[in-house]
Amino acid sequence: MRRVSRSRSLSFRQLLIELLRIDRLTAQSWARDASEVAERGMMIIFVMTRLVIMASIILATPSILGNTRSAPMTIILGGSALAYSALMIIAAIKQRELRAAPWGYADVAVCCVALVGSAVLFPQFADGGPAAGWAGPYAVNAAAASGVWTRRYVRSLVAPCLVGGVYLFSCLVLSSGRKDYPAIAGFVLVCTAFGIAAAAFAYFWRHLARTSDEYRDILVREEKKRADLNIHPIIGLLRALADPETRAGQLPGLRSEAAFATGQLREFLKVPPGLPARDAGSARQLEQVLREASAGLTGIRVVRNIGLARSVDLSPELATAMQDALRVLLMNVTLHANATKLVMHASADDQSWEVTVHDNGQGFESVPASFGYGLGTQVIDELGRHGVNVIVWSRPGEGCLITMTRSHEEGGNSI
Amino acid sequence: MNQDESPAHTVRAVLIENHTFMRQGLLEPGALPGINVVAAYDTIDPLLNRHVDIDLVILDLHLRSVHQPDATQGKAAIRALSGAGYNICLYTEEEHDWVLGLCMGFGASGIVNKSDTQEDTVDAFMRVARGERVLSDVLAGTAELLAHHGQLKELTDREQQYLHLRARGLGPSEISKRLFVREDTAAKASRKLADRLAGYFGTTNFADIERAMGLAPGDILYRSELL
Repeated sequence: MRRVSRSRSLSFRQLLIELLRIDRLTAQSWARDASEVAERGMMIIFVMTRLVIMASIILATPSILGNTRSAPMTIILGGSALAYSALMIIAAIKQRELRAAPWGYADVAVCCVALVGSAVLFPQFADGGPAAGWAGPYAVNAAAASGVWTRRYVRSLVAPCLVGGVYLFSCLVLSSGRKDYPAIAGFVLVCTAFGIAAAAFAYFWRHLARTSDEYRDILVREEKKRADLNIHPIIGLLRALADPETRAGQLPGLRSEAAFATGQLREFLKVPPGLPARDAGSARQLEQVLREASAGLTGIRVVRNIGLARSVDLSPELATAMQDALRVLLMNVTLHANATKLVMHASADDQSWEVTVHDNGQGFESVPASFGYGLGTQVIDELGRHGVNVIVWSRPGEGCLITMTRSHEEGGNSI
Repeated sequence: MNQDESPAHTVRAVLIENHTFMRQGLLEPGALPGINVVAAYDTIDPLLNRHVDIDLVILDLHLRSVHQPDATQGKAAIRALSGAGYNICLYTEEEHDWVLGLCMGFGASGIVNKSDTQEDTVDAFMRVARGERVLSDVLAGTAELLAHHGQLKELTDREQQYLHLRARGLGPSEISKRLFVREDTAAKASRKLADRLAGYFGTTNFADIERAMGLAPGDILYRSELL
């Protein structure tokens, strides 16, 4: 699932609060996208490390001014690095994430200029000592940052290698002083490895956040679907109760359904949206589910030939799905089929169980287009998700026979 | 059959029912098309005191009330009327399949639930009046359960197919279409199964019935005051 990152401006006061209270990031993780939280986290880490680099530039400048070939150029070089870093930090804070263009590319460019300039200005740049200046740590930080702002993993390997290459070139070609080759090799390795490690970290961190968002979306979608499944029939019920043309004989049954629906609605409202679904309860017998689903129906004769399925146990999820689907089915029959008799039948063998619901109502053309939301979505689709195959047979004037079958293996139900 | 048909084809019936309004209602002409309810009583005694020339007794299973706490009802009433040579169709709200099955075993030929449609009710009354046994929806389920447990022996494949569909609520017309047989062939299978079922309940001891139907020991003896 593609997730579009949203940028929202952040004030400096808010930034300070967030820097001091990073725990808020996780505390609010359910209230926003995980991808956004991940980007903010990496941005804050960058800001904190770059502030340290800026401090090191300021602290190192007095000592390296005594060893430079040009003090004004050294100040300009350091000032440029500080100014650009400050601008990049401000941009990152405003955007709440590290962006590739133009800030990321410019950061690598500034880093390369700093490396080349330092090699030219400082005679001891390549000997690995403290007088080598601040360009090395800056390069490591820029290489690591590039691993974050470059969103493609393979492409993110380029910038650290480039920075390492420029450092190597600066030491070997541009620097005129003594060269400490092991230190140079070690630094190139550190610079490149930190960049690659940061890229790998950013890749997996984003993947984790994206996966989390996908699961959250699935949960939200399922919750919405559950709301549809729960509320849709209740709306139909309320409409039937409010309809002055509803026959008086149907009212006791509708009232009984309304009392049951009240409990369902209460249970549904207990669960906040976006969180895992309700406690599904314990396993139940198919016979019990059928009896409960058809209890309280009035205005229609209900025959329950369900003795052949007495030993069938349903998982909690399947029992709930069956009961919900059956209530939708029976309510449809009561309200729309104009039926006087309904026969529920259940049977089971070693391989599978079967439930049929037959009514002697007006019937309909049993084509999928005629199933509507109730029969199509709430019964066929919903039971299909639990491995129950539903077959609808009906013709105008000949009633309706709905057959639900499921093998025992699908879901581990037992006879 | 309707009211316009000649009286020669009209079924003569007597209603035994302890509800006053029910008795008065079914005595009204046209209450049951094709059936002439010639008399309605609240006990079976008038039919036993003298033989009445009728085709059918419509019998409520529950006859006792505060006014007649000792009225003969249930098993005793069915046996007495059956012994007197009447065709009996129960007219009841009883739902327990084993109670209804036993009533068939005691001598009732058909069972109609009071909430059944007028069409189904009249159809069952007519068939019982002709001397047929009628397999109701509930008893079709009972027959299937017993057949599954090997209690109804020697059912042909066709009869088993019929039972399979009948227990799911399909009528003779729908079954005949699905099995590609004539409607009267399906009706014949229904009669045969009803006979088998009545024979089973009439000859099998209570313990075996309880075991076959998944009841607890003693249920039949102690759970229904009708038996």
